[in-house]
Amino acid sequence: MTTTMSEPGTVTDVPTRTRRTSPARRAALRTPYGVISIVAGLLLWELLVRVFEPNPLVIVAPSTIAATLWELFRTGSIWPDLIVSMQGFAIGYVLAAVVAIALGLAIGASTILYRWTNPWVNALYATPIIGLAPLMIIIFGFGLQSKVAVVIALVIFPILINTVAGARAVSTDYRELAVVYQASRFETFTKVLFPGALPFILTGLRLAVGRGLIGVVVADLFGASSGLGLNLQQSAQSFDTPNIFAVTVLLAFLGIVLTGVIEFFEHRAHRGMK
Amino acid sequence: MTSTAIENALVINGVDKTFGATDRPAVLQDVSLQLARGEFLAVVGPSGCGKTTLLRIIQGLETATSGTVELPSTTGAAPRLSYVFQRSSLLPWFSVRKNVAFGISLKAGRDVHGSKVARDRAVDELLELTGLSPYADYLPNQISGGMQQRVNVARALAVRPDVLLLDEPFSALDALTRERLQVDICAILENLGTTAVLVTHDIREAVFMADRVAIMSAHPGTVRQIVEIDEPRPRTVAFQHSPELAEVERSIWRRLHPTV
Ligand SMILES: Nc1ncnc2c1ncn2[C@@H]1O[C@H](COP(=O)(O)OP(=O)(O)OP(=O)(O)O)[C@@H](O)[C@H]1O
Ligand SMILES: [Mg+2]
Repeated sequence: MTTTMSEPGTVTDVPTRTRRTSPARRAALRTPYGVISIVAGLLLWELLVRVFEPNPLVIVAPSTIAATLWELFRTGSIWPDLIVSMQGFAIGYVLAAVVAIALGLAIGASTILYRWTNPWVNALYATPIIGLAPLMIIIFGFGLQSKVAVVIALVIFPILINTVAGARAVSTDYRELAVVYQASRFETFTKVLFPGALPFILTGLRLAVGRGLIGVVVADLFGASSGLGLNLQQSAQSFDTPNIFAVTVLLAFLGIVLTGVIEFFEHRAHRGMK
Repeated sequence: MTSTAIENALVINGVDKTFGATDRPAVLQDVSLQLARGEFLAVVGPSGCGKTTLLRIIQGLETATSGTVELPSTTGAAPRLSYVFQRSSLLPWFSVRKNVAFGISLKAGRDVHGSKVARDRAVDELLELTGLSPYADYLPNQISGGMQQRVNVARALAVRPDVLLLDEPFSALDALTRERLQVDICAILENLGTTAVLVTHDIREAVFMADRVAIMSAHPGTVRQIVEIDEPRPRTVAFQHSPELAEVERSIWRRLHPTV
């Protein structure tokens, strides 16, 4: 340790220890590792396919997938299947979300209701409900309805289970506040329980996206007149591997975008809660 | 007796409270208190003697094991209670303004201030009074603990309660803010004729604000003594630092610490 002597009254510069990140570290923080990783991975995939030339029925290069996607949209041949699948997904997802959130808040708000329903909710959440998809086709036919039904069945439980957990996690202080100010049941839901449970609800909504997309595709496999699942099935029957990859990438893209949007709101909701 | 002629706003009659099994020790035993309309009662006592429990029973958040709490009404309408919790209980998803307006934005409290304009004005006035106007649009987690507690008080006042229950509302505040709020809130309650029960650890605060101070003892929690404070309201800043107040404060302190 060194001691600095200074004359009385002189102002010495005290070295300040501000928490400044070093330029190297800042550059590191800015580096979009995710993007680099994906681009590098795709390049590697491309390279491996070109070097080893594997059976094109098994795997194709990213460039082939991109070209196939381009063709699908250029000719417009994908639209009928894409639209009906997205309709099935959107309708099912929104209906399930509305029901699951309302029901979840009600269950979370009442200990009695919670005790009665909790075993069912947990069991059904763990059940691979997709097994019921053929039944849905029998009931609802080959059209949009059966896709909606399968999506609802797959999506409703993750949202429900998270909403219940969220409503139960709302601090007793806030619930008592609603009692003190004589909030009506509806006001308690909209002003206290829903905003309090929102971070959990968004988590449920995010987890449900993937399941919903699986549902809408799988529903087609048991019989459909159009849809991305049917498209995949037909590609398989005609050994059109590039098309299988292209449709899968399309589905992945939809999932990633939807999940990303929900994640954005989730972060915001969590930040507001301190 | 003249006291029977005084109209009561809150009558607590032989309240006992035991949590859980009846063989557990009683938290409250035979607590009886009467508050005249517009009266300010402070409750002091050691930690754990059941002060919060008493307020919760009055509010109806807890039920007494035996005994009654009555809120006689003059108008026929159910008297309005509001409660300032010991812990800050602001809704983190609402701004300061919306938190203050919480009670009067609900159907049950909307008629307190006739119109939307009147509601907004009442909220503005309370924000001004509690020094929160510049922070009206902040979220609770963006303001200090003391400010949060002021929002709590403002929210409780916004519904113009007939009976206001305050559970250590100023404990998180710095001395200066606390003294200012004590004076201001005394004045508001006096103006509105609000009946108030204040639970506090601060004996000086109890003596300064209250008409009477109930001294509780613990195990089981019961009211041991009630001290009348002979000083007209509204109380002034001069009284806050007067030797008279200090005298009463000392005597209550001695009763709370009999062995010292
Ligand atoms: N919900 C409950 N269940 C069981 N016991 C409780 C409950 N609430 C309070 N108690 C007990 O009642 C007693 C009084 O608690 P209370 O919170 O009323 O004390 P207090 O006088 O407000 O204390 P402090 O001054 O520290 O706030 C405590 O011994 C506490 O353990
Ligand atoms: Mg307490």
